[in-house]
Amino acid sequence: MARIMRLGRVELNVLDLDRSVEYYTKVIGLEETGRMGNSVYLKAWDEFDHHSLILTKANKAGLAHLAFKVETLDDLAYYERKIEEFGCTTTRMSSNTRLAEGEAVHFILPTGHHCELYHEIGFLGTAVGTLNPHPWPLEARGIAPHRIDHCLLTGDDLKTVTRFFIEALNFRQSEKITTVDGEELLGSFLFSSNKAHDLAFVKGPDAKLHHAAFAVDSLHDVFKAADLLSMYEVPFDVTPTRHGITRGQTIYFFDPSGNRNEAFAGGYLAFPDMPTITWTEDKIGQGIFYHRRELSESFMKALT
Amino acid sequence: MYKVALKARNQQFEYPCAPGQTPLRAARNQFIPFPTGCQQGGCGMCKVKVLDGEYDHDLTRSHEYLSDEELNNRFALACCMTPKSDLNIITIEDYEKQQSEIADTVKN
Repeated sequence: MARIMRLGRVELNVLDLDRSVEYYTKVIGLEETGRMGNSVYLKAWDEFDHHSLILTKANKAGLAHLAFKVETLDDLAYYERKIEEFGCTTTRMSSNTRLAEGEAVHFILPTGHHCELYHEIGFLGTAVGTLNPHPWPLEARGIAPHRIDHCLLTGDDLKTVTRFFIEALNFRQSEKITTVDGEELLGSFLFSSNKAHDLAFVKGPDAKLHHAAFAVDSLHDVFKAADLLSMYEVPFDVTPTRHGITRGQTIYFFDPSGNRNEAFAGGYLAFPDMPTITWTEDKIGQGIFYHRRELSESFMKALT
Repeated sequence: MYKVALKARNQQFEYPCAPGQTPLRAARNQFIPFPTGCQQGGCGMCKVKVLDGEYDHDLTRSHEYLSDEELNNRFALACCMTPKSDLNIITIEDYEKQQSEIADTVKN
């Protein structure tokens, strides 16, 4: 059965390209791998592909698109069909649309977000290589995450977007947030890999980004990220804590355009046979912030 | 030091703000509940209408939340502005509520 491998790339709109590149290279610790037009391409040290983050200059912040990588070109054609069967329109993006990318299949999610699937992308390799590698690169700087991890998006019709990912793209739902009576879906956490979530949605305005997350190893790395963010005076949204949902350890902060970032560690491994975990709305505080046990206005309302 | 008069969450506040400080930062330092988001001009959470006073405003900000027209009409993002005089500001939430109350009064 064809499966989507992972969230492969995220394209963020940024207000000031130079400031954003400086932040994502120095503070986050990504490597710049190329430039084309108004976009800069970056990758994390432990990623093999040419880029996982694209910063594109725009006059508003937010998500330009996100894309999932499939294992083969046959899988790309397979999912293209499945998406059309679900009732979403697909278009083929030619291989010279962006730097180092092959053809992609573009479609708009039921929540209004631009999404793509792709297989072909340039290969650069990790910073430590594949022959007798060291565990991490000596030249690592900033938070130095392993890779991009997941995105949380907002939208109105979470039932349809969940059904889309499950029926058309073969995802599974690890966790959900519902009203106490179970009638309404307020949050939906979806995976295709072995991670507790590759993509998640919470109830809110369509086509908005809540956050893009980077993967770090441990709570210690989350804490070190917090130290670095204070050294660089990056505005925090939430200081280090644990999520009830996914059990991950986390910190939230804002990039220079106001796009929320997360450094995320841990979380359980998800297998296809796991039953969906349910959080009811009355326990959402500890579902999101396990220690504080209440939500904050900025976390709930600040979107780009 | 300038004085800022702020209407937020249906309450009136007054607090000092240094010339190089944003009215948002100054309010938070006084534990005044100013709606706050990214503090980078990207999310629009701290949008205000300036009722009185002079200020500088950073032009780099999300146009989705503060268009050029709004900027010219003295709307502002409190994280992207610094005072050049005493200020009288009202959060967008309270301003919109006030405007609709005025509209209702006129109708009746």
